[in-house]
Formats: sequence, C-alpha cells, structure tokens
Amino acid sequence: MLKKIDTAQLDALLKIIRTINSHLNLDKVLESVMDVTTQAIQVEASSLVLIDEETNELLFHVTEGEKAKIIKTIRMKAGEGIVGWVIKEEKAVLVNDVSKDKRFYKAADKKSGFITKSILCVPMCTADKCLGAIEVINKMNNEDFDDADRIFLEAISSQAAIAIENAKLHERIVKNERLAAIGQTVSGLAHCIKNILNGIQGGSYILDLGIKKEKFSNIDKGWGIIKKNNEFMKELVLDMLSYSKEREPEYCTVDVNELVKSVCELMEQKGKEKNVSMQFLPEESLNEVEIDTKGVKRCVLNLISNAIDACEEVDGGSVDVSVQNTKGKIFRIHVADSGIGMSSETQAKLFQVFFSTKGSKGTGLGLAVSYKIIKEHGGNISVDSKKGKGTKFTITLPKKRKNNLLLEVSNGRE
Amino acid sequence: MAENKKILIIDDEPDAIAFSEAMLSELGEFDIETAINGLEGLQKAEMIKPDLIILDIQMPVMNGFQVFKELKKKEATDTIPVIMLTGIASTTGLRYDAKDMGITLGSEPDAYIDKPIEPEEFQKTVSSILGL
Repeated sequence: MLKKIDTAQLDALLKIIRTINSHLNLDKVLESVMDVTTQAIQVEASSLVLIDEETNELLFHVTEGEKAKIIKTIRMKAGEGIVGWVIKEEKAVLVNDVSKDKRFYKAADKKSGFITKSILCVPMCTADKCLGAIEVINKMNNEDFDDADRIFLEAISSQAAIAIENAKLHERIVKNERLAAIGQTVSGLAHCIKNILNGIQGGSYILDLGIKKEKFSNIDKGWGIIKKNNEFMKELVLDMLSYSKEREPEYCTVDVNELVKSVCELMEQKGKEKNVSMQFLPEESLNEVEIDTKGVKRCVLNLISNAIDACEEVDGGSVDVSVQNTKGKIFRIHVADSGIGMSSETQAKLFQVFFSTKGSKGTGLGLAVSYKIIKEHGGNISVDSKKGKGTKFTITLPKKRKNNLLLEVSNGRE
Repeated sequence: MAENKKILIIDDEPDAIAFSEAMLSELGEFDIETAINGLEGLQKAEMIKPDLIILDIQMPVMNGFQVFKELKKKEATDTIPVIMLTGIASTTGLRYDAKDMGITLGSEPDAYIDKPIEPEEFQKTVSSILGL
C-alpha cells in the first residue's frame, strides 16, 4: 500500500504550480521547480534534463546539489544512462542501488566525483512528445525512494512539461509578432523609398532630356524634382529615426503663440497655392510653456500641412489654428479644417505607422511621429472628424515638463 | 496625315506626370491629356476616348484599382488599354498586383510597371500596346 503524500510535498506542489502560472521566464521557473523539488523529497542532488533537438544530446539544463556545476557540463547521447532510458521509454525508473543497474552512466560520477547510490527518474512529457526528464539522486539519511516519491515527482514533472510548452508557445508568438511587425515596417519603408526613387529617376530623366535637347526649362524642372526628392528622403530618414528611438523631449521655455505663428507663416505659401485660407488665434496668457520646441513645431507643421491637403478639393477651404489656455496644468493647440473629413475607418488607423490616404505623396509617418512626440511630453492628440464636413485635431500638452508634474492628460484631467 | 495617338495620364503627382510625358516625348508625337485624380480621369477617359491610359495605383480618394474597375464597367471605356504604375512594395521582392492585394478586378490591366520606372521598360510597353 502506498504511503500518503505528506503535507510538505503537497505544499511544494502548490508552490510549483503558482510559480509556473506567475512567471514567463522559463529558466527561472525551472530553477525554482528543481529547488522546491530537492527540498520536498529531501535529496542530495537533482537534475532537469532536456533533449537538444539539434544535436539529439541530453542536456543537464538545471542541476542542484554539491557537484551541480560539473554535472551541468556533462553531455550524454540520447538513450544513454538511466535518464536516457526513461526519456526513450517514457517510463519512470526507481533504482535504490545503482551499482546493480546496467543502465547507470558511471562516467558522470567519475567526472564529478559525486557518488550516486539511488536514483528516481521520471519522464517529462506533453500529450505528443517527451521533452526530457527529472531525476533526483540519493535520498537523505540513506532512505530508499518509494512509490509515493515517484507519484510526487511525476506530478511535478507534468507541471514542468506544461511550463516548457507554454514558454515555447510564448516565444513562437513573440517571434511571429516581431516578424510581422518587421515585415510591415520593411514593406512600408520600401514603398516610401520606391516613390522617392521614382521621383529621382523621373527628375534625372527630364534633366538628361534637357541637356540632350539643350532645353533649359527641362534642366530646371528635372533638377527641381531631384532636389525635392532629396528633401523627401531626408525627411523620411529623420522621421524613421524619431519614430524608432525612445527619447526624452529637449525642453525649453517658449511663447507657444510665437511657435505656432511661425509655423502658420511657413505654411502660408502652401495654403495660397492650394487656395486655402488660414487664420491664427493666439492666447496671450500662454507666453511661457516648457516644451520641446523642435518636436512640437514639427507636430503643428504636420497637422497644418495635412489640414491644407484636406481642403485641396474643397471650394473655399479654410484652416483655423488656435491656442487655448486652461485653468489647470495643460494647454491646447487646435488645428481645424473645412476639408473632406475622414471616415471612422481612416480615423481608427490615423496614428498607425505607414498608414496614408495621400497616395504617393504621403509617407504615413507624419502623424505617427507627431503622436509619439506629444506622448513623450506626457500629452495627447485627439481628433474629431466628419466626412464631408472637416476635421479638428487637438494637441493637449502640459505647461511644464512632465517630470515636474504628475499629469494624466490622456485621461482628461487638468 | 495620320492623327496623333491620344494618351491619358491619371496621376495625383505632377512630377510623376512630367516623368511619363518626358518618356513619351522620346517615342513620338502624342496628344497627351492629364488628370490629377480618379474622378477627373474617368470623365476625361469617357470624353476623349484615348488610345492608352497610364494609371497610377496610389491616389487619394479613388485609387487606381477603383478607377480601373469603373473604366471596365462602361462601354465607352472598357476596351481602352491600361498600363498601371505601382509603387506598392512586397516583402517577397515581387511586384504587388491586384491579386496580391486581394482585389478582384474582373479583367487584368494590359501591363503593370513597377516604380521606380525604368524608361526603357515603360517605352517598350507603350510601343507594344500602341503598335508603334
């Protein structure tokens, strides 16, 4: 008759289950499993052995006990030793005198100087394959291993197998997600570069034609296109770098009205070319805010440029830019246009990298970069748009650098 | 004297139109019309019934595939040959056509030309379609 599993062993099992369920780092989980096992069964040494799928060798992945470090360096062939047999046959083995067991791998004791007397080894299997085994060696006080120990170790082993499978699954998911993200980025980037290259190709062709036919207007046009695309490439690289790098804003104290006004002036020509009128409404009380001037300027420029583009196909299109103070710790910059507006689908993808509705003119990086810059300030960008009516973007920013304040702008607190 | 062949270029990017015009100018004399968006392109196609349409895929509001479908729906435009210009990148290194994008066009365009456009490929394709 089996002796009952004692409370200490049940407690150990519970501890192992909790560890497996609360940690994602597999090595830490397995170390903890073996640590708890060694103490619960009270043995001199223990090992968790895994099959190396590439070399088909047995690896001592986690080792406990006096000679743990040396044991860890040992490599055994598949099927070798008691542990090899257990993995191959997927059956537990309990040997209380290893000297009488032919399967025993003496070389391990010889290399480590450890004297193995008894071994309890159980396979570590999932529903469809054996991943390795757990073995415990030399029960304390020269006691023998019994079936209760085997059942306890089998329970632990099945939990360890689940932990390994979970970790492998997690690793696969992360890898697939990473590959998908890389794929998307590469294809988005390639698309932008192809359009820029097409511009350069076109510019050079027109330039060559101008030289061949001695037509100055062609030379001028071709050269202009090349220069423009050179600028696009520069902007693309800068946007990519801004997007990919985690950075802290470079704060300085500025008059936000001056900043927004200067952007409006920069955009005035573009507005005129596209018959879009532009108004700016300043807020006198906001003459000292702490922001990353370059970053915020880039965002405002981006929003105003988009707003003008959105008005291009609308008769009498207008863009209204304003700055708004609040009684709290934040202020807002609004950019509203009377353009074509956006569908809810477009709005949902708005800040996604490489998403653009501008055909070959858009890189799909502008808003993604703007969003990132504002988030780095601890601020937020929101959008309100109706198809056919127009769009209003609102940048909300802290008046002081975010380190000085505990602001939760994104939650609407002021 | 034979009339010049009529070519309609539909592209939202004026520089890209200039590039196509320059490449065509090396092939001979054509009557070239341009449109900067899909809607204008469809109207002009119906009106002038060109011998060839050069159609960019990525355009705002109405993309090239949508324009192509509309052209094929109408009796006045359904037989006009179409060359589509694509800048969409595929991670496999192959050109993305309608099928790759999961778009059913019904009938296929006469040719796809990848950006950056190789003038030689462009001119060869146009010559072959127009029988020059």
